[in-house]
Amino acid sequence: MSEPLLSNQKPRVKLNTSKRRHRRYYWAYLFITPQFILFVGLTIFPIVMSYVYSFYQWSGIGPLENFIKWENYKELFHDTKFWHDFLHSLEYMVGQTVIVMPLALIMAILFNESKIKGKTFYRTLYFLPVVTSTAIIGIVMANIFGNKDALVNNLLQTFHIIKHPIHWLDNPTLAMTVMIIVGSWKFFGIVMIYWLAGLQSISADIYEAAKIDGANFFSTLWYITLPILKPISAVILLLTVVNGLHVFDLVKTLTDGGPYFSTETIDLFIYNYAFASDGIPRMGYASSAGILFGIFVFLLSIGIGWLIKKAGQDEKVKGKS
Amino acid sequence: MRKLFSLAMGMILLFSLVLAGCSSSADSSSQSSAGGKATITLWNRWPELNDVFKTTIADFEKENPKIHVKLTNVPADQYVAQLQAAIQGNQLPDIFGFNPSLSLPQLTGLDVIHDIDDVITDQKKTQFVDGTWSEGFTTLNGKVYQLPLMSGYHYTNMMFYNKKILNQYGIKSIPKTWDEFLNAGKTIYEKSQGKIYGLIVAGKSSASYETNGEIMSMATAISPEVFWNSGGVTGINYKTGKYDFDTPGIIQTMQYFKKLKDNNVLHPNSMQSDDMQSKGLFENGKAAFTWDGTMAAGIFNNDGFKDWGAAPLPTKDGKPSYEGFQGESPAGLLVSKNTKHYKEVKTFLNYIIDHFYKNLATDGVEEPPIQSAMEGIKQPYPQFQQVVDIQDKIKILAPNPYESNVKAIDVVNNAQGKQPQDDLGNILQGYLSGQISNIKETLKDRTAKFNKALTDAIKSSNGKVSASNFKFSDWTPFKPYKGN
Repeated sequence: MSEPLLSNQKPRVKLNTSKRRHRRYYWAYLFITPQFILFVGLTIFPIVMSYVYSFYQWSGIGPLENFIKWENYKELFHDTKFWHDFLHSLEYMVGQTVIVMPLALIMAILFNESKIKGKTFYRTLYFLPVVTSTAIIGIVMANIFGNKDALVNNLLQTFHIIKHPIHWLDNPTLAMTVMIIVGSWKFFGIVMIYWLAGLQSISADIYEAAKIDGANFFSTLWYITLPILKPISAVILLLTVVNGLHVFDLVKTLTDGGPYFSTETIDLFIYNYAFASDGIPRMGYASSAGILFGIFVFLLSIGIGWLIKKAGQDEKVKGKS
Repeated sequence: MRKLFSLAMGMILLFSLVLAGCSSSADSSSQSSAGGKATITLWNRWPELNDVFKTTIADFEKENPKIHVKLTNVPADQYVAQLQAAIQGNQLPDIFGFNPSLSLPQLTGLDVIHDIDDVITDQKKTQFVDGTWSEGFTTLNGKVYQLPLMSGYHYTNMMFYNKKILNQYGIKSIPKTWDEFLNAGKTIYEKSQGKIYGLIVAGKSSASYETNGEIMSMATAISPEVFWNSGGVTGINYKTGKYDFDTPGIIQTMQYFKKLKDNNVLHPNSMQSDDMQSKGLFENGKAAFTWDGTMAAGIFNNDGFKDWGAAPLPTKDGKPSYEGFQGESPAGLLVSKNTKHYKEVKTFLNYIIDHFYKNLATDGVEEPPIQSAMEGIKQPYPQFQQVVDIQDKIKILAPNPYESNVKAIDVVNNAQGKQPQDDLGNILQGYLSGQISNIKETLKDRTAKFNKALTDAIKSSNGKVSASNFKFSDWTPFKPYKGN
């Protein structure tokens, strides 16, 4: 009697498990739905429409009537201003990445040391610019780096480091440098938190074992910390690069793209064409610029993504050997 | 299952509420309240008019208790984007400020604006200053669409000086020539030991239209064929019908700016200052002079800065300079075609003609478009009449290519889309920062690009517009053009 019972029970258990699993899926789908609808409506739809607009001569109002095929793209390829702005975006991104990545790591390593007092206070302090409005930072920094009666020049003059005020934002190289420094300062805190998260995921046992083996701080850093951080460093690199390529509010408020467009980035280029307040807006042309730059960012992200994967695989191989 | 169903319904309900909240059943145009009170909506994009609107609306609502005017002051740099969105979403307010980026033919073509012929009757038209009713700017195909809020002479460039500084450093007469101005600036800088500069201008990229206007205005004293006009079709030599930026006037004016910078006459913060920052530095005595538009006068007055005077911009040899007036209305109101309260809108527009213009003059913001509105008003500040007189003298009626052929608007708009985005203010920035070494070549290149775009746009009009529409052989610079 018992055998048939057992044979009957097995499928019921399976059925129950499958029902439960399905019910779990329903719940999951239910919770995802609002977000998914918003994502499609507010992210996917505008992206798709940007592709559509890029093939039209369109000012942003009225019906899409003037289909001009690839004309916007052809014009864009010959537009020296677009390529200059493209270069400025790259310059900013490289500058910010080179400054932020190593400095934030050093700071994170310091704050990860248990000996340092007031760690939480300093972490908060470094994180403050992250939560401050970029536009406000831009306006304040424009005053700090002003030519006359401005804080930086006044300080340098007070300490007799310079005789005449430096025209920080009137010189193309200095203006870009100031923008990179301010942008790096703003983004520094969040990268430091990323590094800290990576550092805190490393087991204390490893360090202890290294200590017993006689490893000092630098050899521990070189042979243990940095290799373990390799996969997360690729993720941080990706986030820093993508952030650096999309700088708008800081440029708008700090330099407004000046002097003579030397700090104008692609985001500002797109904005100026799409919503020109003195001239006819060119939404189609701005969209084609956005698409082209978007494709570049996408390819770059794939490249870094490949690095992330490779870094992860290398670590696995090392772990096995 | 029932629980799941209830939850799903709850989620759907919540989500619909969110969407309903986003879409807003009451659009930005006319609304009627339960009490039968009609609400008309108004978007203003001129910050200097905020207070005048506020006062006028308060008085209007007292006299017309059944109408409520909801005023929204939209930041100028977001205005075009907001209009684009409103037109696309069919959410235009009942009344909204005109912006040249969205031209009259474009708006009438989309059928989104209402003509106001029944507000601006033929009899009323005669009250406005000459040239106000002009094709492509205030009228289209003979119908009036735009109600001007200020005189068409609005935004004339002039020179403002700080009387106290001039007295303190012994500058007895107001400079009329470039040399006199340079010497005055050098004296002030030297005597104040570098604490006070001769001149502050707003040269930041977002304010480059200011220096652009100052350059073109001063340049007319040397090359009068190319004039500046804040809201019109500017930069064209109407003798030849072609754009011309590499004129001796413009080149020499650019070089003069450099001379001012090299001699410590130009305040070092000039190229980083927007219009408010430059005014602030002037009011705070950091520079003895500023070159700015007419509206600066009202701002100085509002800020409580009293010790200033106004004069025309200095020119190379002290000869007069001028700016063109082509009938455009730099500030004016349009009415949405979809308004549900056109009757109330009409009442309000008539009230503007009768009261707003007077308030405008009383507050000293700007000269109204009807001269009679100035009669009998108390001068809002002592310099007001001085500013108005300079403005009236500098602005001269000039040829309007739209008058002879309204299709020229489309050509100009098409050309503008393909022309370089920089203006002379941006080029000045590049010249002063050392990025442009050969100013003549840069201006020549700009002229060629502008003309190519214009020629291409004329070609694409399929014969509806010709180059001759931009050529006025009967026009003499400095003489009011009556051929429009």
